[in-house]
Amino acid sequence: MKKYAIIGLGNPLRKDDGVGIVLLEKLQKGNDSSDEHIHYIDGGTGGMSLLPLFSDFDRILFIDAVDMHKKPGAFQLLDYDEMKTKHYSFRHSTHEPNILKVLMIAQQLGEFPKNISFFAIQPKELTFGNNLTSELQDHLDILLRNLKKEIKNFIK
Amino acid sequence: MSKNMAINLEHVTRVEGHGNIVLNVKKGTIEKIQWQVSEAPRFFEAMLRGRPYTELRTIASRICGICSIGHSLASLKATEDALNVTITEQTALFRRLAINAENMQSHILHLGYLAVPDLFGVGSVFPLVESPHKETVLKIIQLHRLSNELSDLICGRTTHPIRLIVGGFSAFPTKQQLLHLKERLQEGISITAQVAETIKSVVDKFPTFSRETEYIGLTSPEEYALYDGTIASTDTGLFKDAKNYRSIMKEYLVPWSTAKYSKHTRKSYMVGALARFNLNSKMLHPKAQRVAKSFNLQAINYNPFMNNIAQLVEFMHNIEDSIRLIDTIVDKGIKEEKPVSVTIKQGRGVGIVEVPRGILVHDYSLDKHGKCTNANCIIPTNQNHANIQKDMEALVPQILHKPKQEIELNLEMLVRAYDPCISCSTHYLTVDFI
Repeated sequence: MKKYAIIGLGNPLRKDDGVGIVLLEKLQKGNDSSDEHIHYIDGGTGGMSLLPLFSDFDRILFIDAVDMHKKPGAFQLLDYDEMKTKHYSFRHSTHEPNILKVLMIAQQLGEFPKNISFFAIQPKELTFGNNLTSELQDHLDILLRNLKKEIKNFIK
Repeated sequence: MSKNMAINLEHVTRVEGHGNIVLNVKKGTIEKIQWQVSEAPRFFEAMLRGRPYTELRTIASRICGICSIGHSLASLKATEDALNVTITEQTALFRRLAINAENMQSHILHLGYLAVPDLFGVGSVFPLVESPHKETVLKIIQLHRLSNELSDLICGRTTHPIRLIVGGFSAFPTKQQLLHLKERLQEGISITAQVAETIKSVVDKFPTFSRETEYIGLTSPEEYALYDGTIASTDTGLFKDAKNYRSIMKEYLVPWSTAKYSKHTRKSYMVGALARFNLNSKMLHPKAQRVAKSFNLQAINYNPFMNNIAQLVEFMHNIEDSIRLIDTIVDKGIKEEKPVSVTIKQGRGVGIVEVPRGILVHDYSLDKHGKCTNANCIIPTNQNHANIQKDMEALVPQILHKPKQEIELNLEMLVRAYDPCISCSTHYLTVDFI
């Protein structure tokens, strides 16, 4: 049986950087599925702490704030290779190295799942603050709906 | 000597956050040595103000992705101190397991991925993975996974714990889960010993250096103090007035750094694994004592590079201690305890724990509704900045004859030995732009 992980990344103390964690919590709260093969993980700003996790899963979907030079709240589903080649900027990472570098080390070590995707969300502000900006707040429902749609495809 | 040299290492790699090293030498005379911490100020303490006591732990846990358990525990201890909450014996045992998990996670991450590449003469863990040392990296990952399993089981998560709450735990693991983990921890002992052997074979790559300084940490007559204890200094002994911690941890400003420096009796002091070892080595469990002995690490050791080895020693201790704690918990029987009930009142509380990088203080004032009116956090890395600076001032004249590249590497290794987590450090001075 396949094992899936939905991993939220970011720091809720840095405004829109926390959008991955906010969406993860919303997914968990509304989760009426008893599918024990889907694991919801708050990756926070764990960085290298996440390295030993990856090989436990067949497929991983990361939810993260990524600067794609789009309008705040815009989103895009990207696979691992796209993330590597597009050179998008992740948050002002509080811990080096960022998630892509951690994934590259995992890949070299053979500690890697078969499939990795990113549900990337364009942030507006990554400065200090407890809440998302109003632009991202306004987009939360749309983001959640689309994220759920992607998760359905993800676990097929 | 007529050597001229300008070293300006911006954003020292393989440390958490951003720090710069500046060295200017003219005609063999050192004109400037500076450890500059250039990261923008953070405002975590301001975020705690105005929040109810029930939320403080959650916010504190986000200060750091590496030390989220330690910040949680310091936060809980401060809150419980302010509200006069006494936790149960079982909660104290489980919290000790939690702090062991975090020490293990952080130490193996630092040693394995950030410090060990220096010993093997490579620039990062990347080339190590493709070298004959890949097996060592895989063993380090095994130990990292074991550390995460301990955190998952006790705290409900690998990072940013959820089960740790005011007055106790929201859930406890079962006896079977604990016993299974005990087996895994027992396997971890031999893997740790193998990693220690590998590190021993290259430990001479650490520069031979010694500078007498003061070491500060928690101490206890009952255990190797991490979760609880009395503040102690290698210079002045016990300091029992925990609420008056500011008279030990005296912060001051330097013009070249946005982070505050700290001192006590001397111009600097050190906190962290080596400080704890120097204060408490006799309280280590036997296998950890053996690891220390195999590296000839004896208290008091004044070589900051040996902080890496003290971390390795502590890793072994944390495994042994976790096995002992699991045995105690299982012997006593796991009770499905609810958290101790809280009577909200006005008050001030101070919570002090040892986190991987050293002694951590959270100090909260609550109003009569249980809302935080003031918060102060003393972060270990900030306490070490002055000691890093003083070490550099002592080290550079000893290595000035070496090629520039080697001097740079030695200085970077020195910073990395402290395992600084600059990103998480609070207490920055306010900069006014005129």
